[in-house]
Amino acid sequence: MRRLTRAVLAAGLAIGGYELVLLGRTPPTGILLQEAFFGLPYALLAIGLILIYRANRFINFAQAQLGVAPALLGVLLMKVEHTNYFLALGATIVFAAMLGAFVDFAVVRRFTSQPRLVVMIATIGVGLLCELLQLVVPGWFDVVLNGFGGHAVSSAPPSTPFTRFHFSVNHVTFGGDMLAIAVVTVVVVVALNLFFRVSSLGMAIRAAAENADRAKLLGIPVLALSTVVWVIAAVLSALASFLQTPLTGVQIGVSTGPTALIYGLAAAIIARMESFGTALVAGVGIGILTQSMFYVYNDPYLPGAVIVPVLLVVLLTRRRTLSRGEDVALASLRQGGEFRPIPPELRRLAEVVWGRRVTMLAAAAVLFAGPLLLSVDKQELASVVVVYAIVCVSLVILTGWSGQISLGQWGLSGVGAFVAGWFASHLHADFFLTLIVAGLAGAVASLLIGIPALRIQGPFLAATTLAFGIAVFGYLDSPTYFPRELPDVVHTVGRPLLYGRYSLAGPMAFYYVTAFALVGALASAAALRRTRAGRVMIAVRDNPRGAQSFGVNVARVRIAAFAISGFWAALAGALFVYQQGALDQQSFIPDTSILLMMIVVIGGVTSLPGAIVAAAVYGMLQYGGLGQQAQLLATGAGSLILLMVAPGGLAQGMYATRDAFLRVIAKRHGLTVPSLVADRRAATLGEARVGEVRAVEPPVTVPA
Amino acid sequence: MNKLAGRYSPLLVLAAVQLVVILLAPSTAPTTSTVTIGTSATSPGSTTGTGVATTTGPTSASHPATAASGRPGGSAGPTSGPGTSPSGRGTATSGPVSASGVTRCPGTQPAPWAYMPPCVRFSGTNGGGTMPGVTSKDIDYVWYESGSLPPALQAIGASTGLSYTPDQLCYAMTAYTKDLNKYWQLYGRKFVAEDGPGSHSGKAKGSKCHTNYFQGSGCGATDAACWRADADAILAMKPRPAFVIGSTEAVTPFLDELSKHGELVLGQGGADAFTEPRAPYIWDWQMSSEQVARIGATYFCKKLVGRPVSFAGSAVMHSGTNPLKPPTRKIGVVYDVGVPDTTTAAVKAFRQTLAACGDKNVVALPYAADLNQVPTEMATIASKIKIERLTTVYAYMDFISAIPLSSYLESEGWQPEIVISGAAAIDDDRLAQLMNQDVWRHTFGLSLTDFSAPEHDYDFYKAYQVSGEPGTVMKLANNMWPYFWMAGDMFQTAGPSPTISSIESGMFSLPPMGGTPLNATMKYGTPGNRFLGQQDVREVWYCPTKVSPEDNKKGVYVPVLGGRRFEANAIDGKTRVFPQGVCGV
Repeated sequence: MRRLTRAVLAAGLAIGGYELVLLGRTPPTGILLQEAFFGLPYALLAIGLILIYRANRFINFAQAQLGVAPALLGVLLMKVEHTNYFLALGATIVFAAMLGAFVDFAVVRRFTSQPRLVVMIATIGVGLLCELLQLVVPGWFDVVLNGFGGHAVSSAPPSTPFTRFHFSVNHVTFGGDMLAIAVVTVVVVVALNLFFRVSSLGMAIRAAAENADRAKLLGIPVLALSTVVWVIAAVLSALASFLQTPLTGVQIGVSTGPTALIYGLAAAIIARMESFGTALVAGVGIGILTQSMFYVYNDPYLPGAVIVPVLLVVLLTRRRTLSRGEDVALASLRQGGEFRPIPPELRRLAEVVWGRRVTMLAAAAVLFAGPLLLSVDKQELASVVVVYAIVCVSLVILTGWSGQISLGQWGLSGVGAFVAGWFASHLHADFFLTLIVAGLAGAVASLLIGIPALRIQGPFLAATTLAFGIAVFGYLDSPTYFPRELPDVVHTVGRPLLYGRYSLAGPMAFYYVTAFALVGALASAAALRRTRAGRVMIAVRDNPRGAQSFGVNVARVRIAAFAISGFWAALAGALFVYQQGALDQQSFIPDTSILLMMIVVIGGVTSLPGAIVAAAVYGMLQYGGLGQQAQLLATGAGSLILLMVAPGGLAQGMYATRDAFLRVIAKRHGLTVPSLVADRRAATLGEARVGEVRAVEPPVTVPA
Repeated sequence: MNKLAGRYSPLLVLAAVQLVVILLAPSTAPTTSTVTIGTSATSPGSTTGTGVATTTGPTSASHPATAASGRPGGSAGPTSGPGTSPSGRGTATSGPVSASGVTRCPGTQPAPWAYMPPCVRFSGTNGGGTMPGVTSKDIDYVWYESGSLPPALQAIGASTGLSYTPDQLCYAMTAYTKDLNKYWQLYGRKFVAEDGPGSHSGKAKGSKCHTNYFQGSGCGATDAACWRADADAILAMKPRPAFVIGSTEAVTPFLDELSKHGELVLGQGGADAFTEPRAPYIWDWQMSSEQVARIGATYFCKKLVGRPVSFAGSAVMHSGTNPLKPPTRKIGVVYDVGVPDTTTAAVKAFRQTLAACGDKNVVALPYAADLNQVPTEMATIASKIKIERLTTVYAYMDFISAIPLSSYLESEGWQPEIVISGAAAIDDDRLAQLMNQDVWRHTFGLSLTDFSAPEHDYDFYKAYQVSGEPGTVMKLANNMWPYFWMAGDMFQTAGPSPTISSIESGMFSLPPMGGTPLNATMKYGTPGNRFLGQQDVREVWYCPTKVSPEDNKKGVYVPVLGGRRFEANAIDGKTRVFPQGVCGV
């Protein structure tokens, strides 16, 4: 009865909100039904996301991309080989199943013991590789993408056995291909519900999702079940993609961005990452809402922007209940390996002191003199990479230290860019004043996201911040909505004369400004980390309840992290606008936010130097002259391999190298440094315990 | 409290010092007052009268484009240049004729192509290095090859035979540069292509043919920073090129960056609203989006508005209150709002024009050309077209989005008249063949440029053959050749001492060129379309059963009246025959 009451209340709220948003201008019934049909692929996407989340406790960013290559295989079979539709569908499903199993074997299992944040980011790498696969598949049919010879495939939609079937509702005609999506989605939901409720395999998967360790103890093959889940998720993704092709036409090489993911993710979030039925309803609801807005307001960007308030309302009005599995997953998402400082025993040794000085000097030399070796265009791009690095610093503070996952950090930079563009172009404000105001605006915007974050955590917060980034791109940074505030060809953003004297027009001059800003951000972040506020942040991240019991105001700490992080992200956005001399809306696409999060995790999410190095590596990959396919391979495969080898990211390698040097120094001085050898001993003993007999390295001892 | 104050006192002191510095020596963009003799001063018909612009303030001064064009604030300048009246044809006061040593000869420069400027002879010495990239011997230029075509477009290019290899590009560039140096009067100079520096070297590409060009970084469509950096690399080249051919691949940030630094650039300007404030630095041969919409509006007003629908499918033809009579046209316009939005204003003007000629109910159907969203957007638009009982759709849109639109209209069983605008390659036979043919058979309208004759009839083909380069030219060279003749025309009409100012006045002084079925009328300096050359359109209708000469496949835009071209004011109200069912006419 209570569930029914809640459902009725939720439905009432949804309908009321819908009417409010559309100001009572509801589209005709036929259109509403059509919009509901469009929501079905979102539902399929959501179900795939839920499956993976339930089994592995992370958001699978590759969910939309997983099925694209298998679907393309099926479509090319139809168009090039003239294979029967159902055989092509079968081939699609088989290929998708193989791909899903491969991803689980080759990637997911390698990250079993890693923090969920790391494996979540690894799925971005998987997605990039899926995009690459999409470019490879045509080659299997001798279809050329650019050049001559081979088959040419027309983009025209393939015809299917359902194409000729039609029915009408209130003047809107529905084709058989659209109906096929509906039938498949409903069948999938019913089948999955039955599978998870009735079958022993389904129940085992649910058990493993709730508590993997306990399930293992009970003899459930958790790893094998994970493979089953990935197979199902990949097949769902492929089905959605394949079934849509007769409507959309053949699309080769289309990058599936966050906008495509956000609707499915929002549906999954509304379904609490739990219920397939709710996901279906939510997907349909989102389809209706977004397309109704498009229909009524004639604005293609509004549907993307409306997801933020929808998610906020849903999440804030919901009673907060977390299952044990979710609680563990949240903790794992927050978990960031801390890299220890140089042990106090060694800190004052001359080698260490000089080593630190030389390292700092080398880093400074690379930062300040390195770009002198580059060509002009690369110097300009070096400034952009430094701007990204500043945003990475802000992400280290927010995600690494405070444990709040933001996938909309570049959106905050978009806020800073908006303010800076306005102040610089229309108000001709002072450069420094503009930067500060832009930073403060970012802090305020970040606070607005941060306040709901007191109730929203983990994947829910990630989705909300992603939606925020989409809204900033589509709305705030659009000259359509803010023609009087944003720069244009008349009201340009000129690089300033510093103190009325020093021109920043040249690429190196401005590069140095961004480099100093980066140093400022690093110094501020490092100072924060050293203070009590920084330590409290870490404590709240690792154990909020424990911190609370010591009288720490968890809410205040989290909000402070959002504000500080938002300030630096927005300041970076302001610098970006000055660097570009313009505010190009397309520069603030939400994809960049996800990319930046990936950079930070690859760098080592809690490490400032790691984030900076990762940003530099990304800059080299992105602007180093690699072709598109090589870029996808390097970024996708590179990130996966790196995270497999070093889950702590680049920082893990950097600190391991440092510790190796420190051990040598300690040995030379005959010092016993327990913190330098404890990990190695533990690791070696651990290996020995599982059966392999190895010589255990004795600790370094101080001679008497 | 004291402890807190002590801890933060250095920061407070720093902030206070910074505040004082901001007050005493603010760091803002340069605020110089410059008095610039605008190019419009030498261009007859300038509304600024004196042609002298006083540009004050950071924005104008920092933008050489607005400063040099003599239009404070970048507003439109001349409203009645030489192009607006026949008397203006070839009578520029600062053209080559008035320069010392330059004499007129009859006709146009001797070459078998359409867009040749009036013939001139030259004896004497040229002005030497009169602008960056120009010496007494050379005119250095850069061909920018972006290398950025996304896979989705590559696939379509491959399927429609529009791909090309680096060797083919190289041969075409070599051929057209040879032609320029041979057939245009360059006053003792010759065009020299510059090679890109380092990794941007185009010479290193290709296997058999090697020529200089700038290989772009392959920037992603949304990576504005990358495009701007490529532009900066060109600006830093030594010698700095006299002009850059950005071709049809150039995107807004790239053009903006070059023009902002006073570089002459020939590339896809797209909209008058984009080129005019950056005048006179961005030029293109294609029609501006505003002009496309203006001509489209004239076409609608004179031929379609208020009349019964004639060419739609049966469901539409019988959708009126009296099913036996075709209903009066109800019009919708589908357009891409784009990033950045350059079309909304044009569509607004289109709707206003139609309102003035009697149709105040034109339905706007905007969309965003994001490939992930287009399918759902097009489905909603198709349903809206049906629900609103729209009989006629003005397809002011890209061809990729038109593919799902045609599919959804077919599944709706609603086949309205589709009037193409000619923009964004929607009038290309090969691309029209990708649409749902049952819907597209009701298509007619305006074509800017298309192939309705064998390749060898076109100038780009002939110019290649004349040069003696091997093989046959690539098909996409039809978008390449115009930039070469534009460059030739620019530096011939600018005279022996070319400057950005004399180039502008020279181009504005050119008489209308072309105007044949195969060669559109080109005229620069016309109000509302000053830097974008094309003036006229052809009327076409689509036949799905007739074979196209482009690819020998079924589906072709058939030109009306043998491909006669119309400027906006020449479009008449006579409804021409639109074949129904049989396409053999």
